[in-house]
Amino acid sequence: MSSTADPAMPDARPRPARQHRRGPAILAIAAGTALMLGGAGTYAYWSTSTALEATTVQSGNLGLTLGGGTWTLQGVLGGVTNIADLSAVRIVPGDVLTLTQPLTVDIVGDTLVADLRANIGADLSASALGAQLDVELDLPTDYGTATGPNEYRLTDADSGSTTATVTITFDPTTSGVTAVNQTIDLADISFSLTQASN
Amino acid sequence: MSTRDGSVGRRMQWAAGTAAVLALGTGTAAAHAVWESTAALPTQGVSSGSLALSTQWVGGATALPPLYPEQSSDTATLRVTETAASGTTLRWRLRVEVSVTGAGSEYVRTEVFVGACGGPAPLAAGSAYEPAGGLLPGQSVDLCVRTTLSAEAPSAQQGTSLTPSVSVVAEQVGI
Repeated sequence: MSSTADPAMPDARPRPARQHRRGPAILAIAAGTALMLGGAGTYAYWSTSTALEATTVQSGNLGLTLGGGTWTLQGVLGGVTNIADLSAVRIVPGDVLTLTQPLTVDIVGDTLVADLRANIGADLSASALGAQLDVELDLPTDYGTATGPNEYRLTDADSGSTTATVTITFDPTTSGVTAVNQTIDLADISFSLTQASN
Repeated sequence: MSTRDGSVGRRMQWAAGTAAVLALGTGTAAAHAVWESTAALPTQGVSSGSLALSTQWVGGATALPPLYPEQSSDTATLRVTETAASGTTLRWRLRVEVSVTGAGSEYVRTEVFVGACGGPAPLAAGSAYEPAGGLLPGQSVDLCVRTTLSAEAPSAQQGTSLTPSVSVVAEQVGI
């Protein structure tokens, strides 16, 4: 019996490893790219375009401005007194300073929702006096939705003017002479209105 | 044997994975960029007050005369002044503690009067002087301390020395 090779059968002999396969591939890609670039300059083709109907799209707005606030002071004894000159006040444990702060909020945007927050800066919170103070933001009950400490969620329906109340309470449990004769800068308290992302 | 092809495949997978992570990360970062408007309160300082005391014997401290059984001796006027005078709403009370040390101190009784000795009832032990509404910052209070040797003091107490001390404490009221 003579044996002939069956063409359908794979060659059982080990193929030599192919060398330098990248070279030809790069050459082929380069050639193809060159052909395509050449073609782009060569071919003319029909084209038509239609603009959208003449109309405008306008972006919204997010803004927050503060009006002139007024301060009151209430100690652990006695009633509430108006403060004309805050720099003349010397607060002591148990005191409550209250700021009545007019706000103007602009929330313009079909989908825009924003969070209004009162922020305490690092300088204030790290100071000996600041560490004894508790700062709380309150808004009118029919304005926005409280979503956390010192944070309210607002919508475009809340655009306009309102009055926020910021209370600064000197911890009444402060002992000894902790934080006496200290000064803080109220500019370290800020309001922020931030587009809600969740 | 496809070691080389497998290696290339794995590299492609890593590259694809890395690209996906980068794309997601960039997309997430972009999603968190939001509009924000901030406004700080005007620069304005707020200061805390203080509470501090000073004491002074009016006319100078005087040595107490010798004590005999059933006899009393009064100190000079001790003026206690709140010196910080710095607290807009601050009101305070004065707590006075008198102690006597030395052999036989148990036979000695002390009383603290606001004002002159022998005036209105002395402060009860452990209590504080707190007029209605509290004392004002910067206010002074005059005290007098009366020391009495008990009639039961034994003769062994003769010629012995005792050391009285007076401490005053200002406390914020209303807390």
